[in-house]
Amino acid sequence: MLIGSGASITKRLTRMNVLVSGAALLMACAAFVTYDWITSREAMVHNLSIQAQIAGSNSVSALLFNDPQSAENTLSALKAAPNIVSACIYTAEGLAFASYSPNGSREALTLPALPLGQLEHHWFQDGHLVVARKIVFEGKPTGTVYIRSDLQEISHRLKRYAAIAAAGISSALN
Amino acid sequence: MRAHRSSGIYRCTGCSRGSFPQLVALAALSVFILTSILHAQSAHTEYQVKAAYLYNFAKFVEWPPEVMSSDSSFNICVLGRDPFDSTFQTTIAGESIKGKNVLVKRIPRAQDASGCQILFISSFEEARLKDILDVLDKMSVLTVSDMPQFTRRGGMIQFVTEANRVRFEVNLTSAERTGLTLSSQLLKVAIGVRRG
Repeated sequence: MLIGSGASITKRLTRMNVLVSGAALLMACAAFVTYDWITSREAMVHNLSIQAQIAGSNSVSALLFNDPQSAENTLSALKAAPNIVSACIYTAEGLAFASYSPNGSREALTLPALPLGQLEHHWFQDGHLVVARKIVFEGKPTGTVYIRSDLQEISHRLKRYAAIAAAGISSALN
Repeated sequence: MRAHRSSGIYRCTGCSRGSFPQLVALAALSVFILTSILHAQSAHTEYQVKAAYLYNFAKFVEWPPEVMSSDSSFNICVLGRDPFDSTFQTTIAGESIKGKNVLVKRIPRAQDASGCQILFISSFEEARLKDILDVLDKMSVLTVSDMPQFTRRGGMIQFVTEANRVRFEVNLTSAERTGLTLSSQLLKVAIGVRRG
């Protein structure tokens, strides 16, 4: 009886330890994943912003000399980034000028204008990240470039983390 | 001309057989006037675009430092009969290029182009283009024109109208020979880049 009670307490203690350790591990994993999710989003915005700057500055002459084909050639370099689902350039007057999509469709994005006085803006919308950046040449606004990316990179990353965390926790608890 | 009703049919009392040619003449005159107005409007738009392009060329061309330091203004000159009229005033008035105020000058002779950074050569000067380009050969002046075969004959930038759009082609060798550097951004949007 005594032995049985002792075994039961040990079991309970072990179970409690496992639960506490598991909870601590889960919390650590959750904190880590949350941190990684935030930094991944920031990195994604940063990368898309750089791509928008490059596309914009390479489209200046196309905008100034009204050559949409040249601007589309510039945008087509974005096919190297599979996460980009569409991009387009608008003139300073807000007219659609050139567009890009990996499947070749020429639909122009209907997007809100940049907030007044802002050079760049980004927003997460319908599972996508959109970065809008003004194209400024010699101090004058020449156009606006919009780039839309899917969030598959982040979701794949989170799934990988979840699998690794699940494997780690289960092996630690066994 | 008045119309009156006779036997249920309206007839034109002033409409004799002799007035038909008058009607045709009136219609032809109306078409001519309308066409002239439309042509004047499209020509105006075309030279507005060309004036804007002349200004934009300056953003993608580098002149030798001694050329840029010699004058306090950036001079865009027109040689010969000026097709721009008042277009420059509306397009580039008050603008500056490379920190200098833009001035538009009309010059009668190529010899007067020494202070110009960009020279538009009117197509009316086509007959004496060779002499003009010979004079400009030693000057770092960006030569632009819309006369046919301009780049083939040694000019630097030639306006070409393609599908109602103003485009341009470039003779890179002519530009580089006088010390001008044309940006790759400019060459990218040219419809043709000639070397030699």
